[in-house]
Parts: sequence; structure tokens; C-alpha cells
Amino acid sequence: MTTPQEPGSARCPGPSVQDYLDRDSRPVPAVLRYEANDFLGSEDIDVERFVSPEWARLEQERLWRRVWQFACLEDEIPEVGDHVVYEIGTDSILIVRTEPGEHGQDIRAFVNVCLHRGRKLRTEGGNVPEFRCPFHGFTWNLDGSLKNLPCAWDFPHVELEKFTLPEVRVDTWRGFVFINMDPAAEPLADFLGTFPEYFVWPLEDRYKALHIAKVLPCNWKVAQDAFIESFHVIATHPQLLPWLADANSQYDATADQPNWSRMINIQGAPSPHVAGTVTEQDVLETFYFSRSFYAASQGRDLQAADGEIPQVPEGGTARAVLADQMRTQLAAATGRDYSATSDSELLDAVHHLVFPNFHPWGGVKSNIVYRFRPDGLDPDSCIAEIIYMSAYPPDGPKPEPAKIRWVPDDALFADIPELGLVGPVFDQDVENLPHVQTGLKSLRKPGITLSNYQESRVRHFNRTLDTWMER
Amino acid sequence: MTGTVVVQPAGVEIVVEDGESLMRAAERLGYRWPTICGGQGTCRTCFVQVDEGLAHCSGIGGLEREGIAALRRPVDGRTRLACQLRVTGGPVTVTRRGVRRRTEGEQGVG
Repeated sequence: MTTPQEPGSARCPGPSVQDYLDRDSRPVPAVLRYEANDFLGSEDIDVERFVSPEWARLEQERLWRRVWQFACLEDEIPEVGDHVVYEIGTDSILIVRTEPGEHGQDIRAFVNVCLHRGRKLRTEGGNVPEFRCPFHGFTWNLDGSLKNLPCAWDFPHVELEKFTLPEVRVDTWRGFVFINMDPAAEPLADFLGTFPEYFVWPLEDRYKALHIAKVLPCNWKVAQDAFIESFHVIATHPQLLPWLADANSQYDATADQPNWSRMINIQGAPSPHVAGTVTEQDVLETFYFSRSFYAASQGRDLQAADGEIPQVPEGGTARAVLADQMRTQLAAATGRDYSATSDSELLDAVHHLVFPNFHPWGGVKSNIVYRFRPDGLDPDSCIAEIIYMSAYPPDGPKPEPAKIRWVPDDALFADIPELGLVGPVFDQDVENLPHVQTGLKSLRKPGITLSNYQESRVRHFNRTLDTWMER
Repeated sequence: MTGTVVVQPAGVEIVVEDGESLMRAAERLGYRWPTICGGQGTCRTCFVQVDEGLAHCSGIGGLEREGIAALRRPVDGRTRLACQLRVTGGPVTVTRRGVRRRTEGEQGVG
């Protein structure tokens, strides 16, 4: 007999994330005990948003020109005059470290375009004492005020005091610099909602160890939607099933927090799809095999100490053994103490999405941060980035942030050894994406169909996007 | 430690103080050096050709590198921006036309 359930309340019959946390060898942070998912309906999501050039154009105007978005790290611009160029769709923004202004703020952002003939002022980051247009030499101070207008006698119609670069709003969260092109936007802290309370890991004490980018032939939302659910593991990453609990992942997404959602998936425990066929020792050995096969010293993947694969003791679990090994490896690599750190924070994927495209992972391993951006106004192209935020020895200086590395179209993420396991797994994800993008144009129904729970974050994200597009 | 630079074709000798750029030293000694930005490293007007004494020249930073590349010159130490170039020891010989002594009443730049 099955009892009728409220839609959206059904869950995978396997053990839940909270069941695993109950059995953790250490106290688990309270934020991981939070579990909340609002059922937001079962309607199809229209295809237009993924494929239409008109949608991409409106998105630039209604979303990207008005929303808070992650642009760069504070560490990337430590000295006065240091700047980065952040590009989003058709907009180019200069983010620069300046002398502190009247409110103490010392990071400012401007539209990166000369007010004379419209040339971009800077095409790459660096350190400059002023912004001088390479075309005719119009020059602005770092605070955006006009410094020099060549042949000013020829511009009696220009009011020099008003010829300042249009300013873009800047705020920061945990060392991450966010910008907003809308002067009327709510403060970043209001926009983030309760997200900062739930992200308890000290990202600001980490450094950017790796930054990889690649152009993908699909819409940025097609790419993003592929990374906010674990449902796809069953078909896309079958090699992970022995040690990754996929169908019983937890998804936290609520109507009252439209700008962030979370997913927890348990690692070092089998998928409910294959749990009947693997022993605890199988879980442990497949975990080691897939990790050490790709692993590099990037603070995420477990490598067998002295090449010896440990044994799961009688009555023990692979998860407990793996957590202990990770505790030891991380302590050795970073000179920090993880003896009180929970198994969950050492093993699990705790993935957050802050609307529209900022994806920081929690936990104590190197924190992954994804970002997916449109590529100009082309609905069929996007830029995918993977950043690693890593710990460093507490007595050492903070290492310089890594520069962005672009993966050529014909290369794989697996060709970047520092990505470790994430590289080939990402390649498997990316393999689907162009076929989704072209497939959507051939689809004979007006929308895509989503699962109620496992794909609830896809719905949550697209619902928030709708509110921006309808404003 | 100071450095010595001979600027051709005028044959002007400039003694550069420790930490001072070639352009600043020339201005301090009463010479006019071609520039628009006044030594910010952004106008690329002050460039020189280094003929001899490369080993006595400072390294090339990011801003200067960008400027030399924009001049369509190889970044091999032979083309430098005088407002960024520091010199230790020497002599270094450079070629730059237009370097001449300021006349009475003429304002220095910067």
C-alpha cells in the first residue's frame, strides 16, 4: 500500500543526509542540520530562455545590469592602481583599488569605456596610476574624475567636471568583490538574505590557488543547471556511484530566500542505486581509485598514504575511515588542525548557489567556486569558470592569487592536472551541454520537465530569474 | 648608487640618483624631455632606444611592458620608457631626439 503524499514531499528511500550526519564521528556544524525545501510546483520550464537571442538581450538589460554579481577577489587588487576588467555580456567594468574615499571605501568600479569615442579604456588588468584611453589620450583619475582632455580648446561644449566615468556599485563578502550597475539596487547584504549565516567556512582566510575558464557551446543557464543537482550522476558519472550518495542528496531551497539555495551530497557512501552490490571496503577502494587516479596536491583529493589502501575495520564504515585519512592528509598539507572537524566537512559536497551565478562550496577541503557567465549576447555560448580557494600554512604569507587560465576549445579539463578528480568529472558534464543546447531547439514540447525534489534548485533559480525578467 | 646615462645625439650626460627615473633626472638637471602624461608611464611618448649598457638598466614592469608593446617594439630591453627606466652604474648610452636644455622661463613638466 502506498499512501498519497503531498507533491514534492517524496524522498529517495535510501538513508538521508541527516541520517548520515547523525552518525558523524564529530559534532556537525548547526548549519548542516538545516533542511528546508518548499515545493514550488511541477510546471515545465520554457525553452525560450535557453535558446532565444531576444531573451539573451533582455537578460542583459533586466538581469545583469541590475543584479549583484561576483566580479573578482579583493586579493587580486591589493595596491592602489591595481585593477581588473570584469566582462558580463556586452558590459565591461573596471574594478580598481583607490585611496580610501570619504566613507573609507577603497575599491571602486566604473564602466570601462572612454566617454569620447567609446573605446574600452582597459583591455586587461594590471596596475596603472591613471586610466588613459589608448585612442586619443583622454585620461581619468582612479576615482573616475577627468584628469586630462587633450586639446581641450576643441571641446568647449564639454563640462570637464561632469565628464566623469559612470560609477558602478561595489560591495564585498568574505574577500569576494561584487558589483552592481543599478544605482537603485538594494545593498548586497540585503540581497544575500540569510546566505552569509549558512556559509560558516572562512573563505577569507584562503587564497585563490587555481582559476580555470573555458568557453562552452551552450547557454549559461544550461551549464549552470547541470551543476546544481546530483540526479544526473546516475547516467553522466556512473564511475562515482559506489562512493557518492546521489539520489538521497539534500536540496535546500525556499520561497522566502529567492537568492540562494544549497545541495549536500554525501561522499564515501554508496549511491542508493548500487548500495546492494557494494561492501564498505568496495566503497573505500573505489573512492581511492577514482581520487588517486586523478589526484594532485590541490587539497581536495585523497591519496593513499605510502600507497597503502586502508582496511575498513569489522563493523566500521568506509566513510569514517576516509574522513580520518582526509583529516590527516589535510593537516599535513596545511599545518592546520582538523581533529575536531566533522566527517561531513571533510568529505561531502556542500554546494551553494547565490543568484544569479556564484557557486561557492562549503567544507574544509579546498573550496570550489564555479561561475557561469553569458558570452556576449550569444544565447548558444557561455563562459564556465572553476576556482579553488585553498588553505595555506597559518605561519606563512598568503600566496598570490592564481591568474585565470583559459582552456582552449579542443582541450579538456582533464588536461589541467591541478583540478584533480574534478577535471574529468567536469568533462563528463560538459559533454552533455552542446547536445542539450542543440536538442532544446529540436524539442517538440514547449518546456523541459523537472523532478519535484532533486531538481528543485533548477526550478528555484529559474523562478528567481523570472521575477527579474518580469520587473 | 647613482647611474650615468649619455643621451645621443645631443651627447648630454645625465647622472641618475638612486631610485630616480631617467626622465626625472634629466628634468632635475634642467633638461626638457618629451612627455604628455608627465611621467605616469601611460603616454609612451618618452621612449628611448638603449644602445649600450643594458646590464645597468632596471627590470621592465607590467605598465612599461604594456607601453613598449603598444609602441610595436620588442620587449627586449632595447626600447624603454624614460619615465620608468632606472639606471645603476654605467655608463648607459641611449638615443632620444628632442632632449634639450630648458630655455629661460620655460616650465618643466611634472
